[in-house]
Parts: sequence; structure tokens; C-alpha cells
Amino acid sequence: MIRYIIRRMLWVIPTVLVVSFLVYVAMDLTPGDPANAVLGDVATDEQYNQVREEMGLNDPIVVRYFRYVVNAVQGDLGTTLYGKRSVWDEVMSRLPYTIYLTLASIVVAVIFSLPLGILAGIRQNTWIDTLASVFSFVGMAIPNFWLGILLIMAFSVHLGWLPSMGVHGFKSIILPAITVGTGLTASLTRTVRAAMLDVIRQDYLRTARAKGLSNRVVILKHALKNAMIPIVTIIGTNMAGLLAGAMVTETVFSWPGIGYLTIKSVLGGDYNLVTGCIIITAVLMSLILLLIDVIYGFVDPRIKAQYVEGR
Amino acid sequence: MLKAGNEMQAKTMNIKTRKTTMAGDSTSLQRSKASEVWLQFRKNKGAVVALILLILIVLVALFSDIIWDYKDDVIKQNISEKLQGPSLAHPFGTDHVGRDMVARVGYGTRYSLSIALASVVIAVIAGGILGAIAGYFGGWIENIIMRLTDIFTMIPSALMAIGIIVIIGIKTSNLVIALGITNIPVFTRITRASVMTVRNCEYIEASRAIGASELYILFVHALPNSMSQIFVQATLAVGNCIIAASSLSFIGVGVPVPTPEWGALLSMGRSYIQSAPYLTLFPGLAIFVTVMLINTVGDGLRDALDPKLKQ
Repeated sequence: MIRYIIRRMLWVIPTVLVVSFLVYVAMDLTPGDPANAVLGDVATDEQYNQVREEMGLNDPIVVRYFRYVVNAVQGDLGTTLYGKRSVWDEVMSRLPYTIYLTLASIVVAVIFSLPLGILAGIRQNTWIDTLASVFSFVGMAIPNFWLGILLIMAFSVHLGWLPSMGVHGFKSIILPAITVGTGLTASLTRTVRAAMLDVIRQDYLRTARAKGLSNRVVILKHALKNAMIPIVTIIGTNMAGLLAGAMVTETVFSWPGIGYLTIKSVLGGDYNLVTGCIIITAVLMSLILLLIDVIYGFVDPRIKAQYVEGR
Repeated sequence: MLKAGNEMQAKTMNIKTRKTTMAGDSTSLQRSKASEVWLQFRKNKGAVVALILLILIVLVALFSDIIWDYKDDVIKQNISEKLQGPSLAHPFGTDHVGRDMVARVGYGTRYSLSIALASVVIAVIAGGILGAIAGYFGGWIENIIMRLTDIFTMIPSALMAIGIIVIIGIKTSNLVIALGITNIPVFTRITRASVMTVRNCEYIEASRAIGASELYILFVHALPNSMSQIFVQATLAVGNCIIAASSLSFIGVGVPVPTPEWGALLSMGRSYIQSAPYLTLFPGLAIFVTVMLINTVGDGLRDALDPKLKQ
């Protein structure tokens, strides 16, 4: 198991290198010259060349990328175009907010989808099943940012219960988390229902019932435990979408996370910051996927056994 | 018993269709398959209603330049009538410069649908070719393509689209390209999987035995077998692309102003959520309803093409 985790962790390194190289080269192709940005419009050719030389802009791209990576490992991603702050510090100060929002939206999704999906699964073709399928249908089609605005209209503008922007204590996370989590809630409800339908017909459940266990114990202990694998899978495969949804939602709620920062830096033309944001998000993403793979092992002993024997 | 009966029936049906194909030409085979799918699809009442409504929306998109005059109804400002609530003359109200929102949302249908459709076409072609090559030839080519696909799926799609747009500039055509690229991995995976399942079939071997070239076999024999799956996925991808395109326009990196794309309309209405909530309500509703219809039709299609999958 540990060897598997290490192998899986090592695989993160080439992935991050490829992603960051692509991003770096792509950002290098963007119009706009950093030396010009430093000097402004009034500068002689001599000054211009000197600055380019100092900034290392005349080196081949592979050399510059290598330098970027060496610096990045030491926590230096260059400075922002405006205000000359450290890109690393800037991104890292936003990271906790994005992680907080993403985790909160997973919590929201699990809180809503587990009971709904379980009930829909064990009471197939009743009103609660219909409700669950209508809900997941609506949840999948509703655009994140529109839902966010509707929630703001209802709970901030009309009722005045919850703040519409920024971070002011626990109340602030509620609306953004619901906004980001709705899509995941929708697909999780479907998955939980399908998983329950699948598990409920298995022999071991009949055995559990035959042993005289109560319905509640059978559902919660035996059925749900075995339905966990598809649930974890869906959370895993939705992580990229969740982060993407968080980016847009952060803009709607002025939530100070990486998404909001990325979009502000894109609109402001701060390419150093954009590169930093994208690379850090990609690293974050690959770490989350690693985590999900490891969780698999713990959730399903059958998968764990595979790792232990096979490797 | 019942199951066995069904299988028997299926077998006799199979024999019948085989007989007709042997007797008839290839067009009759295609017609019979299409009509079989339609017969299945027709059983799903919800999907049929959704299809009819969707056709109406497509008609609006096709004829929007006849229904509304782009210069006079959609773009021209009319300050004296600004920010009027919904009324008989303007059922969706007017925006901050007095433009009729019915005309703008209606004309937006054309933009939102065509952007999404064009992106999916790009993704299907590129992803289809990559997936077919990977699935058919295998080996190191497959390894490279699939590893790259893995890496690409790791970057949240919204982030990737934003990155691409930053590089190539904010333009409607660039939005299409960016969305197309972000959707490639899905189609690469599907095509590869379905080509792999037919790769070792006897008819492929037979075709090779009579001297057909590998590329001919790939495109004429292997690919058509994955068409139905790709088609279903493409339908659902159009819905997702509508949301993605409007999200990007909402953030400000999608279509340039004053294009009446739905997300752009929403973004503009956002400044008026207190005084004129209808400005965000109707464009959002347009996105939501269209995507929901597309998803319903897509689900219906999937069930019709593969009744085995239906639960």
C-alpha cells in the first residue's frame, strides 16, 4: 500500500512538469513584452536591451523555463506586474479560501445527496424518487453563476439573511458553497440512488436481512458502505468541475480565492500572476486526484488487496 | 422465464433484420436502424416534448435575423426607455440603455447555440481522430495520446479555456476554439474505448484479410461502430458548452460587447439585481431551459440507442 502511494506520488511530478511547461510556453506566446511593461513607453533601445538581458528574456525558452522551475521549487514564481508583490505569496494567501469553498461545497453535496439518493434508491418509483430525479435534473442544467445571482437576490437582497459578497464569518460560506455544490449534489444523488439499487439486490444484503438485522442497520452499515466506491469516484471525477465552478462562483460572490484572483489577473493582463495561478491550480488538482486514489484503497479492501499483492 | 422469452424475441428480430439487410441495399439498413431508434425514443414522452421545444428554440436561432433587426432591435440604444420592467410592449423589460430584452435574449439564442455547436464539432472531430488512432493502433502512440489526455483533464476546463483565450485573444471565434479544445479529452476517451472493443472483431480481421488498408478499416469499419455513443455524448456536451460559454462571457473573457450572448446579457444585468432583477432572470432562464431540454433529449437518445443501459 505504501509503495503504491509512493509510486502514485512520483507520477505527480512528470504531470506537473508537463502542465507547467505547456502553460509557461503558452504564456510566453501572449502578446505583451515584460521589458516594455517595466520600462514604459519612453526608453531607448539600449535601455530596452539592457533590461531584457537583466530579466533573462534573451535566453532560449527551455533555459528560462528551467530557471522558472528551479525558482518555483523554492517558492519563487516571480513578481506581479502591478505593485511587484510575490506571486507565490499572492497565490498562497488565496489558496485556503478556494480549498475552504471546495470542501464546504462537497459537504453541502454530501448532506443533501446521501439521504435523497438513499431514499430514492430504497423507495424506487415513489414520490421521493421522482423528487430526487427532478432535483438532479434541475441541478445539472442550472448555470452556477445564475444560481449564485438568484441566491443573492433571494437571501441577500430580499430577505437580508446572508451576506452577498466577501468573507465575514461562517454566514458568508453558505451561499457560495450551495452554488458550487449544486452540480455535484445533482450527480451524487443519481449515483447514490443507482448504487443503492445495485447493492440492495446483492446476496450479502439478503444474508444480513436473513440474520435478522434491522432495516436501518442493513441500509446504513451494509448497503451504504458498499455504495461508497462509486460515490468516492464521482466526487473524484467532479473535482476538476468543482474547481472550475468555484472559479466562476468566486467571481459572483467576490470570494477571495484563486479563481477570483486568476480572473482578475487575466482581465488585468498580469501574465506572471496568471501563469502562477494556473500552475498552482494544476498542482492542487493532481494532489487531490492522488488523495482520491489513496482513499479508494481504504474504502474498498478489494482494491487494497490488489495493491498489496500486485506490487 | 420472461427474460428468456424476451431473448427469444430479440433473436428472431435479429434474424429478420439480417434477412432484410441481405436482401436489401445498404440504405434500407440505415433507415431501419434510424427508425428503430426513433421507435424507442418515441416511447419516452418527456424526451419527445423536449425535442419539440428544442426544435422551436433552434428555429428561433435560425430565423432570429428575420424576426428581429440586429441593428435596430438588438444593438440600437434607446435611453428614454431604459430599465423598464416587464410589460406588454417589452415582456422581458428593457436594459440599462433601453434595448428590448426579448429581442436581445431571442437573438442570443443564435449566438449561444452556434458557439456551443461549433465547439462540440471541433471537439468531436479532433477527439474522435485522436481516440481512434489511440484505440486502433495501441502501443506507444496510444500511450502518448492517453497520457496527454489525462494531463489535460487535470486542469479545470474553465481555467484551461480562460488560459487559451488569454493567449489567442477575446473574440467569439476564439471562444469556440477554446471550448472545443477543452472538450477534446472526453471524445478521445469514448472513441478509444469503443474502437478498442471492435479492434479484434472478426469482421475487422476479414477486412484485413482481403487487403484493406489500416486507415480504411479504421474509418470505414471501426469508427462507425462508435458513432451512436459519440452522438449521445455530443448532445450532452452541447448543453455543457452553452453553460461554459455563458460562464466565460459572464466573467468577461467570452464574447466581446455588445454581442447579445446569454452569459454576456447576464453579466450586464448583474449590476442591476436590486433595481431590475428581470435583467438577470430571463437570460438565465433561457440558458437553464435550453440546457435542460438538451439533456432530456440526450438522455432519451441514450436510452433509445442502448435500451440495455436503461434501469
